[in-house]
Amino acid sequence: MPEFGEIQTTSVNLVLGPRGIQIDEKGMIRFVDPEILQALVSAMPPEVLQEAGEGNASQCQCNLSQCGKGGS
Amino acid sequence: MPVKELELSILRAVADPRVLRVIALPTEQCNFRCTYCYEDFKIGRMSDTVVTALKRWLLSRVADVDNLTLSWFGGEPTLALPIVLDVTATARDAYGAAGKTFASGMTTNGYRLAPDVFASVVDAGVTDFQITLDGPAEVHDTRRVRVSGRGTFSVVWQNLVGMARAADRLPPFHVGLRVHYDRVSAYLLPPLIQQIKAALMPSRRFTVQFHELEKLGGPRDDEIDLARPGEHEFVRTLAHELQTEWDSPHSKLAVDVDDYVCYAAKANAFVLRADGRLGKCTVALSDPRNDVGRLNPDGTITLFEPRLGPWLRGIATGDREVLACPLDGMAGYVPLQLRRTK
Repeated sequence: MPEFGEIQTTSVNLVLGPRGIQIDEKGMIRFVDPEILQALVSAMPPEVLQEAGEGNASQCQCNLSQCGKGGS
Repeated sequence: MPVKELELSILRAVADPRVLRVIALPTEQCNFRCTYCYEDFKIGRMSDTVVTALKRWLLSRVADVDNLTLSWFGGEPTLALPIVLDVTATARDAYGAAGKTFASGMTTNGYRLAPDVFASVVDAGVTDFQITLDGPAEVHDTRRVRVSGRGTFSVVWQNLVGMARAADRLPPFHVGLRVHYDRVSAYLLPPLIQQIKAALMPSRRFTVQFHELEKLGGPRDDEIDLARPGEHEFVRTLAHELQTEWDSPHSKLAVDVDDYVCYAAKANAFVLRADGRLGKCTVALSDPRNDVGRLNPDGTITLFEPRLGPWLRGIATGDREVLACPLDGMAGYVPLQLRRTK
């Protein structure tokens, strides 16, 4: 395992605009305001990513990676 | 503060706690040396320690994740096939037993996916593939070459035909053919598209996405002859034929896709390098800003907040350009458009 030689955090706290999120040591996202999760869960099902590759790495559309993966 | 519908829509796309996407590079070695490739092939295969850690990480999330997507990337992932099969089957079984949604895909050059190998990969749970063709054989064989310099079209095509023939025997799968074009090769595509229509599309397992070649930092970027609007328009007619003749709405040009949100902008998506580093982007592999953390042997992850934060800034702003490519515009980054003018 590589070491970074920089201070690491095991729990990331990001204050993003009026909303904050935390990402814990399992990669689990927690909203600082619990109302957000409640609203999200009640309003929308989770995103499904596999349909025709939409949103997966290999279909990347962004400027940098029009290639998606030019190498493969 | 009430949660607005637009805000929920963005959060669903980029920070839904019910979703986890891991893009894993089981090896960063490749049997190809595509002329436009940007990778440096410095890192080898995942160690047993990282593989075990990956399985522990995925299994630790079964209870709280509703939808896991495991994407295999590289390098060429089929060079580390035992890892792919082992981890995919482990995750598929665990998430399936818990009634959760599991999906797995692979970006591969297709060279090693002979029918028996392909069947084993699909059986393990990898069901979405991206395989690239650079045009008909005479173009493809000058660009997508093996380490030895030899062409690869005939083997890849043979494997694609094998996949089409296996469509009725295997569990459902999808192959996204990525067809590259540039200023010259765009006009050489029609025979290839005819081949695809005749041999692959009848299986109903294939879609085609057309991508222009871009300068992405490889050592031979100067040789790439970028497509112009005329080439895009020409290729657009080929895509339209596929859409109408084969009822294939996903067959289109990458430049025509709107509202794309990159996985790098999402708080629930991570790239796992073969050496255990965690990143966000699969292109800027040599960029230290992409080293946002690491996977620990016990299956936990350590994230470096000052590096991760800039990737996720689109969550706060909802800026579509940032969500489409958070690296483009990150402080100190040279935008792709500037590089194009060199």
